[in-house]
Amino acid sequence: MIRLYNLRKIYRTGQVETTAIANANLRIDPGEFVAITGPSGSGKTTLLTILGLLDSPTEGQYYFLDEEVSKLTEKRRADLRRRNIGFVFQNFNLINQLTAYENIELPLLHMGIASSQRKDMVMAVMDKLRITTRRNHYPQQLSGGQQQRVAVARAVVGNQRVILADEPTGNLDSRNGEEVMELLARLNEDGTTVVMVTHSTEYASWANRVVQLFDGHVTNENILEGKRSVSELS
Amino acid sequence: MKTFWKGRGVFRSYLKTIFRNISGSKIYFFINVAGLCIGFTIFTLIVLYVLNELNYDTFNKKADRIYRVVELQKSPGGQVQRVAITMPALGPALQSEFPEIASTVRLIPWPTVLCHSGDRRFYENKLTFADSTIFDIFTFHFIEGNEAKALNDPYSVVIDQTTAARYFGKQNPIGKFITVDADFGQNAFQVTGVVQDFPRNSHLTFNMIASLNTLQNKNSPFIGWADNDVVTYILLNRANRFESVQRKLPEFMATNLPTDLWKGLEIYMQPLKDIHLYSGEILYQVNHNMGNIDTVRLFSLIAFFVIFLACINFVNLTTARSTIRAREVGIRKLLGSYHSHLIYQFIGESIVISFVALLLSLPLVEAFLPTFNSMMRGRIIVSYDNQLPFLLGLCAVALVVGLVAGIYPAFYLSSFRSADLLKGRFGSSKRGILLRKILTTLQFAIAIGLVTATIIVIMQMNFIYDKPLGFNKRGLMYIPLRDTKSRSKIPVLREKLLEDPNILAVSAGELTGSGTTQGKISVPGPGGGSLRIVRESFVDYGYVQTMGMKIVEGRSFSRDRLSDSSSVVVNETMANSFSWKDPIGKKIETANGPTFMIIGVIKDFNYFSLREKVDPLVMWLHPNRCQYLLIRLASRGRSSSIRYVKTTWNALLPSHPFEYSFLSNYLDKQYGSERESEHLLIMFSLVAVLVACLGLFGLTMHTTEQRIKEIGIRKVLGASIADIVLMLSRETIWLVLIACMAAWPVAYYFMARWLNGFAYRIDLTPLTFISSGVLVFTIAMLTLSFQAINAGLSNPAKALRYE
Repeated sequence: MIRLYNLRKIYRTGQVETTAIANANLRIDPGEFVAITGPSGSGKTTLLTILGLLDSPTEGQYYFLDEEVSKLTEKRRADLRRRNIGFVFQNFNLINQLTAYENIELPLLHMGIASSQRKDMVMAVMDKLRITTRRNHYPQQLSGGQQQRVAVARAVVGNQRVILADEPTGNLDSRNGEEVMELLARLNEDGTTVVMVTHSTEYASWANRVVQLFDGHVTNENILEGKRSVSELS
Repeated sequence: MKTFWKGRGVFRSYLKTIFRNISGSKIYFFINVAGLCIGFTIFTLIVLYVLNELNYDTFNKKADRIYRVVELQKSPGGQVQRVAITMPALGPALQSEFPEIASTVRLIPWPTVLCHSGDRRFYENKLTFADSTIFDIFTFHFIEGNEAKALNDPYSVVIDQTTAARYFGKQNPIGKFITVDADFGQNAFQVTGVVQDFPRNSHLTFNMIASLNTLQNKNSPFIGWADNDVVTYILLNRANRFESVQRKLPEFMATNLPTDLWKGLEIYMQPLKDIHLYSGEILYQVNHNMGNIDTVRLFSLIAFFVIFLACINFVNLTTARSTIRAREVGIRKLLGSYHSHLIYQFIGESIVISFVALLLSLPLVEAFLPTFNSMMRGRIIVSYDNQLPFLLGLCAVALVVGLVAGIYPAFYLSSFRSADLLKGRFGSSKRGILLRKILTTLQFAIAIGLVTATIIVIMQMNFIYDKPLGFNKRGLMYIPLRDTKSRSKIPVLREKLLEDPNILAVSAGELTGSGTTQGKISVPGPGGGSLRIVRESFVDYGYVQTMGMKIVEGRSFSRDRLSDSSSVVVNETMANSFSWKDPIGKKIETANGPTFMIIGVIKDFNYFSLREKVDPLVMWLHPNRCQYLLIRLASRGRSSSIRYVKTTWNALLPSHPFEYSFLSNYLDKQYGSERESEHLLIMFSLVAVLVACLGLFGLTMHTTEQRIKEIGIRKVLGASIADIVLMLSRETIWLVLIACMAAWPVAYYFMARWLNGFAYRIDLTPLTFISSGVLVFTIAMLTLSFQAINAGLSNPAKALRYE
């Protein structure tokens, strides 16, 4: 699903060059749950923006769904992103002027799905994530956990194949954090590929593979045999 | 179909964010809408005025082919003047000479006369004598009578509906008579036609048109080439014949004109549509409500400025507050919105705001129109026939304004990258900040420029009002003498009126020293030279004393010397133009023969507007041609004196309605158009400064919000309120200084040009410019300091806690 070959990302600010990703090689298959960990400044977020087609690498190749995407136009990347990738952020990134329902509906609008079908899809995902009662609330009227659930709903409402999550539990207390992890795991079990950046080894243990970054290099890849799962919880 | 659905859903979602954004930041929305709304209100008012000015005389169906003949008179001294009067023989000669000319008409607008029919008596000031061709050339709508024959016979008159109703009520006026008490005697004119009232946006106004041949008997001054006293209009066969006729005019003049009378005279054709706005330099003209193209241009520029200032507010506030919108942009892009969609969204948002502002401005325009119109002396005629094109035009302007104001913010906002969402780094870019500084400086520069112009206009107008004119304008009452009968009563009126101790002097003559006629004189004997054109003034005994003028050499007319009827008094300019060392006793000769001796030289005085220099002037003792009875009143007991004058007048002239005014009022009217521009300029400058300050208010509010943490930290570290205020205003001080540097030279250039239109003008001093800068700066600081002081007073702990 995702393959990176010799990927480099260099930022230039005036005379200063900073290598954010150095020579990364990575392969993520459909249905995997991958956690990316590493200290601050190790390049986790940069890697996620490249995987999410929000930024292009300076060098190297990136195959997304077997298509080389590192040199695609902004418009083409937007198309690919819209259909295939859902994002979940540490700070939720919901639009404050729209209700929970309207926030979730947003990707469907951009996909051009008809109104009645949109309604069905949004209601289905809200139901699945148990936020139906909050449909008319604005983000600032919701708790952190509820906001993140809305964000997750938005990420999967269009049946996206990959979820890219950047510290999805970072702003949540442990109970809410657990709940969000549980959601991601359940989605993964249903077939969605999940790539999650996290600091926490505890949350990383939900993944079936952990990729460690240090100063822009992939230093270690561990396959977790004893992965936690939703069935285990229940 | 799919794209339509898709577009509709996305569009609705955009609309939702737009409206919810608005309700979340009401004050900024208010500033944007209020600025644009004020802009549209001023713009619409000015457009109404400009359209009205540009459409003068266009109701004439043949307007494209009608021209007025203007004479270019060159004096031996090399001075050139343009006059809109011509010789009576010119029109017919032009028509017989040029096949390109379809028709010509001569008009003689008559001074106010007393007219009556039965017991209904009125003073008429819109009586014009005209050739019967007037109806072929100008557009009239006949209600009664035959257009082709109406003015064929002497003593025929065509009147308008209002006049018909005044004299005859509901009776049919055709065939009835109106008696005119004119100089040439009391004559009855038969009504041969009734026309609809002439439109107001015409440089000519009529309510009675009498046949010109009434005046053309053998000794009349209204025939031949000797006099210069009729207005001539030409109708061409085709509009494109203008060049060919104009080219042949010099040759025509050379062959047809008696050169001894009119040496150096040229004529040219002025298009009818230019008469209203392009006739400032033309003398002796009939030009009702004359306009000025410079004023039209100035106001158009102001209209543009005010809208532009509001657009700047919009751009500044939107880009300044972009960080707040940046997240929305990032999320939308992340979810697959195209860059172009976002541009449409933001431009759409600014167009919506622009239309809201336009909509709100319409009732404001309605509300202010009467005030504005009364400032323009009732000139603006809002026609409800063609409102739709006008409204569509306004909508087009709102669309353009929305685009102009929205395009930069749209590109700026939509360029935020969604990758930054992950990194949490949205901030104002340097580019955005620099642009805001440039635009704010531009706003200040425009405001300072307008304020400078306003101060200079006010100073110049005050200078004119207060300038000594060479006569005493205070306390001088005048009564028009409209016919021979009233003029014959001058001696007895004087005798009776002087019995009142508060009446200091009584005489008769011209109001400001000169009427509207020119004469031609020469100096007899060797070295006298050819005929020269001079201004004529006809006065009675005691004129110089009553007007408070000054004799610098010789004496004025005296009752004790019978020979004074063949004497003249001249002004200093006249004496200087002949380089006479001792003018007293010199002789001058008029074109038709008699010789006069100069007995006195009078100190120069201004008879027209101070835009013009003083010309050579000759004063004749000629009570029968005096236009006004002049009464000098003491400052005490004025109202009882006026009552006494009225009683005396009514006793001596019972058939002549009593009417009077004061010279100072008359002079104020001379500067009506300048007064008008002055008032409007003050109003518009205030509005421009207001709009600029509105923007400044919004920007400061935003900056203060953004820097609330910095202010808190500084206060914790010991900064005083004054430090905080200075910190927040330092930038504005610099911007105003830069704006001054940019605005002053431009204002200097244009105002020096404007002042050059005045023969007597103020000098431009640095103080004028500095004071405008200080004024704008003070207003800006007042706007700022409210929020700066508030920020200075706020509790730092609170600011830091909530960060």
